[in-house]
Amino acid sequence: MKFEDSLKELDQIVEKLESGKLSIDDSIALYGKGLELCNECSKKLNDVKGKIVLLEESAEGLKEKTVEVE
Amino acid sequence: MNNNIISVTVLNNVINMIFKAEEHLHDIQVAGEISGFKIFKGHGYFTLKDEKCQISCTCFNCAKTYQPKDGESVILKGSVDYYAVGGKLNFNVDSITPVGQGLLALKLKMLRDRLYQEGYFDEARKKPIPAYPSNVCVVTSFNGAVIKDIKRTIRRKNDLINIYIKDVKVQGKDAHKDIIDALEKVDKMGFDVIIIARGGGSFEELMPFNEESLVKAIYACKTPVISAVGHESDTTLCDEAADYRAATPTAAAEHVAYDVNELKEYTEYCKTRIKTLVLKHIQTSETDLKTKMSLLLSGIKLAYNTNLNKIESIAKSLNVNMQRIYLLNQHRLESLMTKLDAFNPLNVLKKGYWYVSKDDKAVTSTAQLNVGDVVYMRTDDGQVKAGVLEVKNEI
Repeated sequence: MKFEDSLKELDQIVEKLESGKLSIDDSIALYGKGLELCNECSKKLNDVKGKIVLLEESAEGLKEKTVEVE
Repeated sequence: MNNNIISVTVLNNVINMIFKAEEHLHDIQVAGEISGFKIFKGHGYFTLKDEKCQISCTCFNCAKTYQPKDGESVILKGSVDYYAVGGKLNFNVDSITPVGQGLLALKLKMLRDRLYQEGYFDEARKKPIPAYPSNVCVVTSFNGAVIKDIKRTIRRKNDLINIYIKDVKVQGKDAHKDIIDALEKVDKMGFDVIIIARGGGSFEELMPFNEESLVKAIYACKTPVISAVGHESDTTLCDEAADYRAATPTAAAEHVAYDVNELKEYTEYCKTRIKTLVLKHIQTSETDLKTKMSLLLSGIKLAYNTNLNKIESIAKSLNVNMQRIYLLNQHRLESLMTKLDAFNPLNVLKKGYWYVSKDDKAVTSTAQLNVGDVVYMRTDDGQVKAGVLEVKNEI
């Protein structure tokens, strides 16, 4: 799932739980799903660091070359 | 050739003298287009150009005259001045008179109007910029300050986004072709967003970003495009065609870079929040259940007590009634017994009377008896079997 979608679903879960209109069974089920999404988002946010890549022209099209930018 | 060796100062002073002596260079009027007009400490600095040539101009205390816009055709009054110390030629402007809208600006306006009519700037077809992009492609000059600003701004908030750079020419006659070629290529690579960036420049320097073919290339892009060209005051057709216009390259970087720490905090907040909400829900349900149970118990107790009281009261009233009935009946019984007792034959027998029976039938008349009959006689304390010796019909 895309990060944006995970976050959107998480927002919806918080909103639904805040509404207080759910049965206790549904609340607990949503809590489980919410926790799963939180962990998924945290993992993505602590994932590998972003790179900086220069796209260079080549006969096969654009080639990626990792570069440093000050 | 003159073999005298002279200093730069002497040379520049000689040039200065020549310029001052040439009357064709003083109090003259020159027509051309304004470019790169800037005001610094009250003085106007710009370039006046036509299709082939250009000259640097300075208008001291420019508030006294008309202040032109870039691309505008004007007539300048003033003199050519040679600044000996810097060795630079300059046109000192006394006054500026506008000659209608500059040709370039006019052409640009016509193009903008046409493209607008054709729907290239239509807001409704603009794609949203993803809030959390992972891969951002920057189409700009790799050697300029722009890419450094963009990288620095993104990394200040976000160390996750991959920044891809497509190096292009951002100035000059064919710059737009280079940008179009880059756009077509990177659009196929599935980036989350493309930023077309360039730092500030004169009206002419930004002209590649006003090319119709670039507008059409941006329009054709499937990837959302952010245009960040020039400074805030410069608006190019590229800005208008893009899905989002950032005032500067730094503003574009600011727009795409979501704050990772903020999101980490938000995720933790959500974790705590949903836990709190569910626990609260469970506690509320538990309290609710306890309240209901307690109400139920009180109800049962109340019903029990009410009925118990009722039963006790009924029992009491029953008891009272029973007692009353009992007493009543007891009196009645006693009275009946007294009455009955009065009729008890044994009482008669007690008085000395005898009960005579024959063949189990009471003898109430002498007519029933004959001499020799056996009769049974009963009195208060026993009975006798006797024989009839005589029968008399009189007393």
